[in-house]
Amino acid sequence: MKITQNDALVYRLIASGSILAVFLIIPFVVGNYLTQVILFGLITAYLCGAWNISAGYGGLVSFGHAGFIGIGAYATTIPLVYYGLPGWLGMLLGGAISAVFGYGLSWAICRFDVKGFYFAVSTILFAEILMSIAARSRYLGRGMGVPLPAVANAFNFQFLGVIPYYYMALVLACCMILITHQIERSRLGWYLRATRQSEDASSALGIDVTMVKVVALTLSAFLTGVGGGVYVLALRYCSPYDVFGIMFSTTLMLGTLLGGRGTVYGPIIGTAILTVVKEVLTFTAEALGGVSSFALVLVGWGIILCFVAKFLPNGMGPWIWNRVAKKIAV
Amino acid sequence: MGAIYGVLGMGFTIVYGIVDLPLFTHGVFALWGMYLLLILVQYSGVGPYPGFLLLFAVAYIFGILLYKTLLRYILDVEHEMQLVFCLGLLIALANLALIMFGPTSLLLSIQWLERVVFLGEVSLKTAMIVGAAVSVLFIICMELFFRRTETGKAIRACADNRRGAMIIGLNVDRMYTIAIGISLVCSAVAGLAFAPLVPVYPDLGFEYAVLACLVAVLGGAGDMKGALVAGFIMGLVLSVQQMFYDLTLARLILYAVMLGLLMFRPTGILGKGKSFAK
Repeated sequence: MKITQNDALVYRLIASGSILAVFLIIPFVVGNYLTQVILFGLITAYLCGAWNISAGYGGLVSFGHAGFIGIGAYATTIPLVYYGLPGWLGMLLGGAISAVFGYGLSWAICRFDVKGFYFAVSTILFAEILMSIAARSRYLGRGMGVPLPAVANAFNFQFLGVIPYYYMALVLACCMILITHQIERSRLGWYLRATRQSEDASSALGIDVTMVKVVALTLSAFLTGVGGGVYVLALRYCSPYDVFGIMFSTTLMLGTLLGGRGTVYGPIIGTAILTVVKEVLTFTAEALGGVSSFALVLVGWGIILCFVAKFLPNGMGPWIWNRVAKKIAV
Repeated sequence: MGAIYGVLGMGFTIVYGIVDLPLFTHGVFALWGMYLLLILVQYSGVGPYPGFLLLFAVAYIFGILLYKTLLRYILDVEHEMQLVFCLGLLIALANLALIMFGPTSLLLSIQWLERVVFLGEVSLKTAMIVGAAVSVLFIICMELFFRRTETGKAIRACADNRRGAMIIGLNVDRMYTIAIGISLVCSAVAGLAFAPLVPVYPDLGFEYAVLACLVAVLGGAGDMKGALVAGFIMGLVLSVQQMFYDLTLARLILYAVMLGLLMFRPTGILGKGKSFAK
């Protein structure tokens, strides 16, 4: 039987529908702890998706997306705690401020033509500077950070349980898939991929490389800022060393690269693998006793990063897909 | 302090200039050097001086092993992926230190280095003077090595023109091995000089890694003399600032200035560095 395009669409709809259904009933099947793990996995997947837009498609490998997460986190926390502004407004505000910063950063890197190692260093500096500011400012809670009150207020996007946040993260992750899918098929997506492969050739073809980079990074910053807001609402604690930390940037990078940069499902696959690895390593550390689980997880991630950089520069997703495609062909 | 930053940045600069690899993990290598020194001097009773020599030997051998087992294989991957690889290495090594030595800070204390010397109105720890002296001595040795010896010249030839060096029969792979070994010794020297001055804790690795990058950026990546000058400037700026502000604010200002500098003058203060690679 030949698979027509219409059939393929139906199969895909069935597949994604069933996956979505599984995710919808997960919190009622598994325990609270696992729900929380999957919740943070979903948020990470969403953030990886945001990183993927600028780095995966556009080739702007940023080491400092934690800066945008932190902006989103603080823009949600501070108005909520001090002035009682609702959380959803804070999220949007965080996204907007992040976008402004993203615009500034991308304008600067295009204006001065910063690339490669220098781009990496400037993005790290960007996040570190923001972290230092947050860790010093009394208004922003200094190094201690700001705890969010544990009250139930649906209008403010504040809940006591895990489940509402779980669905919020699920919606975000789905939105990210849709957005990435749209970008991939749009003119912007083609521009981005062309720019990644060769800037000179793209500009010779009449693509406004600066515009493409600025749009990609600004959009990515906006989405990351919103994600930072959700993260901090779900965690109910906003600490500068956490939200601005290099570890967060690394997580985004690792999740995307592991799954496959420049693909729609890459960040999801990558984050799923990462979450499993993280849990396994955490349990190992607890079983060993006396070993910091945090450190062990990061050692594992560092090794995975090295491995991915050499052997799987296109990620697990395409690798698996090629295997499957070969099998079907045979 | 400036000279020590200079050595730290030089380690990075050697690799970036010669092997063309943005190996920004030298901060962590310096950290491991510090821990190794602590173990050798404080806990195993080797004594400071044989300990220093042993540290250099270990650093050099580790550099060679690192190149032979890992770095050699990432020379041909994309620039972005090289950066990702180095980040992975940095994180893995820093957290391995955290697992092995714990989060508490340790202090190396060698009696005669604790003494305070007065130079006119300025009081200095002996450790600071010795650290600076060792660093400057090491930099001079490096300069002589790269300018005068046959191997040093060969390494520079590889940096200038890799294909040309191959054609005239130089073993580029071997030169790269030596260069990375030397750059690791640079980190060891920096670690050695820093160890009696600051408490040693695992997060220091990342801090020094950023500082080493900044020294390299300020000096112009790949420019050794620039790295030295930049190291002195950094040390000066950081110590002067620390008189007026606390450390975090000093670092904040430094980072902000560096970010601006990176944009406006990518080839470094002497203007001889590689500008944006690839």
